[in-house]
Amino acid sequence: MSDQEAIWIEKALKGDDTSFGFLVEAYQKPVFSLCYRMLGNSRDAEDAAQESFVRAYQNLKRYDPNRSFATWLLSIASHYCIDQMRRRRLDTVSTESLPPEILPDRNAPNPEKEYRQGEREALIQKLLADLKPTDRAAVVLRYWYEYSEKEIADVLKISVSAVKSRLYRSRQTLAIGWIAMENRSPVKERRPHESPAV
Amino acid sequence: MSHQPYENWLFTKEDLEPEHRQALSEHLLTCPECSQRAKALESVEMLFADSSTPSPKPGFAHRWQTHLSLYREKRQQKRMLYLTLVLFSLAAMVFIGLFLIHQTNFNWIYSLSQFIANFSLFAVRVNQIWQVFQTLTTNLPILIPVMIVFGVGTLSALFVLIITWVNSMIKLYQPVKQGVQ
Repeated sequence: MSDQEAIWIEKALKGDDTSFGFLVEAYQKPVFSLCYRMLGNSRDAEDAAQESFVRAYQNLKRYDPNRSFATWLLSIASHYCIDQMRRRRLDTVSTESLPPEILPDRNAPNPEKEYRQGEREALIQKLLADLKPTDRAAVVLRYWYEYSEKEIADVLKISVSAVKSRLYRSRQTLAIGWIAMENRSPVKERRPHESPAV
Repeated sequence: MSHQPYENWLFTKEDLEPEHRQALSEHLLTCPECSQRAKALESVEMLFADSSTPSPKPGFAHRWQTHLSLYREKRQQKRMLYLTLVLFSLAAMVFIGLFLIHQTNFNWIYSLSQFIANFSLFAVRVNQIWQVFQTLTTNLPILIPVMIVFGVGTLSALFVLIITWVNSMIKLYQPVKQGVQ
């Protein structure tokens, strides 16, 4: 945590909303990204990220300065998303149809590239949808945040061995999911980084 | 064909010993199922690595300020509602109490004073017994084990007597029952 962040936290603890606003500005992208990977669409991710920051603001007194602020914040966001997924059963929502946000933007400089990116996103969401909420959080933190197993355990408040077994199970599920999609796809031969849905 | 421990090595993604890595490579050459899974996992990991990081729409921090204001407003409304409910409930209870006192001829003050007096007497008795016990433990500590042994012995004897009596009653009852049949 930087000195500037420590100052913002200290001021926010005294009730200064503007200082916490700077923290929101600094961490909006990682928190939003986590929520997006967990919930699968921008609208829910926005709501979850907003709510996570409100919860962080409310519980700022409980924050331990010896711990990383980012880890603490991501812990709040991931637990909120896990609760949301369990409540709304988003893990069973079909991602067969492309969500609106991945449709190509005709005003974009390269609509084809945008479309390909959108397809990749849809494929990622389809693969992640097969995972249980906590497994999904572990995968997101491992692959997009490059967190170690210990850090994931800290964020999700589970043991390191539990993280290992969740990641093991998730990798199996993801590989099986990929093979299933490949088998459904008419084109069999492709390079490893290409989407089987293309 | 057994896929263990190769499958474990494949999905745990931990650094393997050179001989284990060699064994895994050899297994992947001979086992199409594990080979397919290894390629699939590699593809998934590449897909994840190639993906872009999604960002919120511009103005996120400003929207958060609005969200926080709305949250505070809602919390304030909830508190007000809760306070109103509590006050209303208290008022209703006081009103019902006054109504009951007015409607019945029951002498509330006399009953309350009686209750307090009885409770005080009970407390005094308990206190006396406790003081007697304390005096015994301080002045005659040797008597305590004797008293405990005596008490336990008496209770045991009483228990044996009760059991014997119940047993006799059962035995007495059984022939009468058979005679009736």
